[in-house]
Amino acid sequence: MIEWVKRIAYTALAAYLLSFWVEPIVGSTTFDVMWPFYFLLLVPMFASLLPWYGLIGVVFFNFIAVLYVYHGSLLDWFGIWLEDLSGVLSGELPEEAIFFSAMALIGVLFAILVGRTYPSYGFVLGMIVSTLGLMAYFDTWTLYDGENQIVLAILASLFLLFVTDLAKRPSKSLVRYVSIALLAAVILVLTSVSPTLDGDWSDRITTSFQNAVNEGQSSTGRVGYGVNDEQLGGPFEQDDGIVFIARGVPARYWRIEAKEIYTGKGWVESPVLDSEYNRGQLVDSDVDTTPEQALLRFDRRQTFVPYGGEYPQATETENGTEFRVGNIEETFPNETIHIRPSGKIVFDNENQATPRTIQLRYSVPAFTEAQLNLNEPVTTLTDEEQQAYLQLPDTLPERVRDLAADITADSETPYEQAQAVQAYFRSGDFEYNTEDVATPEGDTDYVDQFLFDTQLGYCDNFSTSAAVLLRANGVPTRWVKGFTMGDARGVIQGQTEHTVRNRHAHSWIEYFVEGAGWVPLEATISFSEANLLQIETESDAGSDPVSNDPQSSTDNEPTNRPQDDIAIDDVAPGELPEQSRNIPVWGWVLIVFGVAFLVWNRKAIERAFMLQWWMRRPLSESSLVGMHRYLVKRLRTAGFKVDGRTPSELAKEVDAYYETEDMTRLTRLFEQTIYADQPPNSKYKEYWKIMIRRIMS
Amino acid sequence: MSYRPAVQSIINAIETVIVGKEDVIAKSLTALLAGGHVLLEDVPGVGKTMLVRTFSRAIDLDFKRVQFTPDMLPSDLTGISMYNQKTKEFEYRPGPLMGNIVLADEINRTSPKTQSALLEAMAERSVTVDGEVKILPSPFFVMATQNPIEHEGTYPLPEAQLDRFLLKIEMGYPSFNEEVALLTRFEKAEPLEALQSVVTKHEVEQMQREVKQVHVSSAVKQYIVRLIHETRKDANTYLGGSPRATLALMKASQAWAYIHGRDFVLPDDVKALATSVLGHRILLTAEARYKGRTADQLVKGWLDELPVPMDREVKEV
Repeated sequence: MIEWVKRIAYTALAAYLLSFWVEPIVGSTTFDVMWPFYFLLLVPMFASLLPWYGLIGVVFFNFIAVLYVYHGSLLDWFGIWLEDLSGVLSGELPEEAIFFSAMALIGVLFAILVGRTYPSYGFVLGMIVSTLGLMAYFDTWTLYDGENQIVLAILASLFLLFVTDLAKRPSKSLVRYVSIALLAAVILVLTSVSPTLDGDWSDRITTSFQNAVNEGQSSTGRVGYGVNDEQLGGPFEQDDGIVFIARGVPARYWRIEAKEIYTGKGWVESPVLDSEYNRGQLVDSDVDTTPEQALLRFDRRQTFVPYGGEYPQATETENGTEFRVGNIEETFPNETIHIRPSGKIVFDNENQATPRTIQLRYSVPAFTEAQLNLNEPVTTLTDEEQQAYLQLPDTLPERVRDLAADITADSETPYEQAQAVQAYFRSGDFEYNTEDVATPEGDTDYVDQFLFDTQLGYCDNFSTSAAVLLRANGVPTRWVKGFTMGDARGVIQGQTEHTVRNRHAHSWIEYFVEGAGWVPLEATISFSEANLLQIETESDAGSDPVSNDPQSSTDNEPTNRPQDDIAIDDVAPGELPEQSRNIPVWGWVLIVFGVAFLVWNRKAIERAFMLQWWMRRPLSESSLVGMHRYLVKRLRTAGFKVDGRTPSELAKEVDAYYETEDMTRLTRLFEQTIYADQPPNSKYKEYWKIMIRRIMS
Repeated sequence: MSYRPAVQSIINAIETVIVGKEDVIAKSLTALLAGGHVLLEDVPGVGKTMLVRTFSRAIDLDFKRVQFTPDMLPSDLTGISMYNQKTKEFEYRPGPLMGNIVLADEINRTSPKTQSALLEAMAERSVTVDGEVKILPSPFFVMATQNPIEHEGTYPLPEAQLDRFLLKIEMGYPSFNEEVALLTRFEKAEPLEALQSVVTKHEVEQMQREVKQVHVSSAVKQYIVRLIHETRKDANTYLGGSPRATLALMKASQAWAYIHGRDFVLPDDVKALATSVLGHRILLTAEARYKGRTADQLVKGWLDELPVPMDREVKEV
């Protein structure tokens, strides 16, 4: 009876582990339903408890039933299958029918394995390794998010090992309960103390650079895109969570919105500009633009829409103006979605979020140098707009304005002034840092603190300061938020893809040049402007957007700051090298295997330790008693009945089991000492060593 | 330990007559060497008397036999002083107790009064006849037999008296092979007649002295006491082992170790004798008896669970 309970638990846990395969595998295909695959994989597992004809019958009827429910007609399906097969034979990727069959085969294979090998450490460990590995792989390279699932998978793995252990070893040793509890405890402790791992549990997106400071509680925020920027400053932690994957476009900064009013502590939107008008363009109509289309796949639904270059285009259709965002088939009528003056795409319904996949069309401007160097009075912007974009708080210390004048003393045009500001930051006095960043307190101005006191900070510090310095010189400027281009994934099915993660959240500025429009500026040191601003050279006219080749920036960067080596171009704030991405899931896997290694090798470790310990001590009566106690304890663990056995009875049993005489010899020496009160015989140690090796091998 | 070969020769000699029953022989010898007495309990005809007679032959001891009957009087055991017409004096006529090995056959067939006389003699090693103390010969070794209690017409021995027997031994039937061997052995000869004594009385007394020298370590003492404590704690017992039982278990263990050629006691010795020493000293509750438990079962149960001390440090568990 209890045997059957063990076996059912073993099979069920193995099936549960196998169920973790469905989501990553099927999720990376075009299938929109998961249930057929759960049936195909899991039903055979349970059928493995039946005799072989039962297994075959259940597997067969399960396959037929799943097909029938999913497809409706079986004959029809057979035709599809043949078609697929010929497709695969001629070198195409497998389609639905082949995929179905493959999953069914995997299910049968595992069912046979679990049924035939029960109970087997080999199968169980293989199962655990492949499941965790598969989850980690898909988590790293696809949109599949296994970070919550992996905890369940690990727990299931532990239970599975435990059940296997129970089924394998009949003795009721306490050690295994303790070791299992220990293993679980270690993992729980690691989970709760490690910040990297901790990050996986929280909602990463709603937290921003400064969320912790905004909430006024803890000292460290978490990187990511946030809404509230009223209180900038403070350190933050890295977060590798994927936000979206961009497809079909070159490396490009992703703009989300801009903010206009600097409060001395942070940024807020201007109430004056918060109106429906000016859904215009970012750049002057004279500037050349290249239309671009990007496919964004989000890890989860978001409340914002990032775009490269100019605002996404609204198109006129029969139903009125439509904003083309969403699935290609799905459109959002003008009434429900619009662009704010800051460039933010807003859904009227607050609960509405973007679809998981967005097709975006927008134009990428490329300025000519002549356009950038224009220096004409601003006439395009209204008075209100100019006021907003030149706003500075009354509390701004005078030395900031003085510094602004100093920096741009030799500059005439807005472009030159912007370049001067950028150059000023890169002069060597400033350091990029995310950890020791101060938060302005009391009357301290955020910009003033950074420019004169700390000179240490990250993108918010640099961009805000640049905006304030330009405004002090009368250049209309706004503060822009979004993401950098992310990590290159390579070329997939002919199109480049970039993975944008939470740690790619970024801020920069746009300043206004009459006749050119809003020109972006990367103020943060160690970040390249190549993917933000495109400048046409005379020989390189037209729509070629790569005049400022990203690679060239490599040489431009100073190399005396530690983060520079990794902050060249693809990696954004440059904290983590490429290969260590997604530490959480791999970390989990490593920790589990590390701990499991220790636990499952505990015998060898303990043996080595104990041999060392006892062999070093001189043999006295008390050490002999200690050694014998330990030996008896190990024998008890090995399944021998110890209570109620005299030493010689136990020795007889042990020797019969191992087919030796060593235990009897050892016991005789033990009896001489303990029961005949003679001095311990040094030979005891030799036999003890032999026995310990034998028992604990 | 100088008489250790003698022990083996006694056993060998006895085994020329008794087929199988090594355990019974060893236990009987244990009781003899520990200076105790044995209660043999079993149905008639399994060789109780033969065992005792063989013992007396092999050790060159004075053998006496008493068949207990319901009308027997204490003086029938102890002997009586009779008036001698010639000498005009009372003259002591020794009873059957005046021997080295006394076979008290079917002890539970006689009245408690006579039983008491025997048991007193066993304990005191002397009898009082007409106010005169008569010392019994040494060694003095009583092997009493009794039929299992449920047989009719018996007077069960009182608990206090049972306590005076060092060991209670059950003979049991021989196995198939043993019984065939028994037939062969007695087919043409009478092995008991041919048996020559291998040790003298004096040597037995020497052995008894040596047994007292067998070392009992603190660990073994603790084991004995823990076992006795179990008999008192257990919910199934109405009466547990007395300190006399504790002492008996140790003495018996010493003799057992001596027979097995050791000058120190092992927990194994205690374990081997525990049922024989304790089985007849423990009284079960009515409930336990109703459930069909026996004292032997309980003792085996305790032995099976009780950890064996591996340490000389005295500590109560």
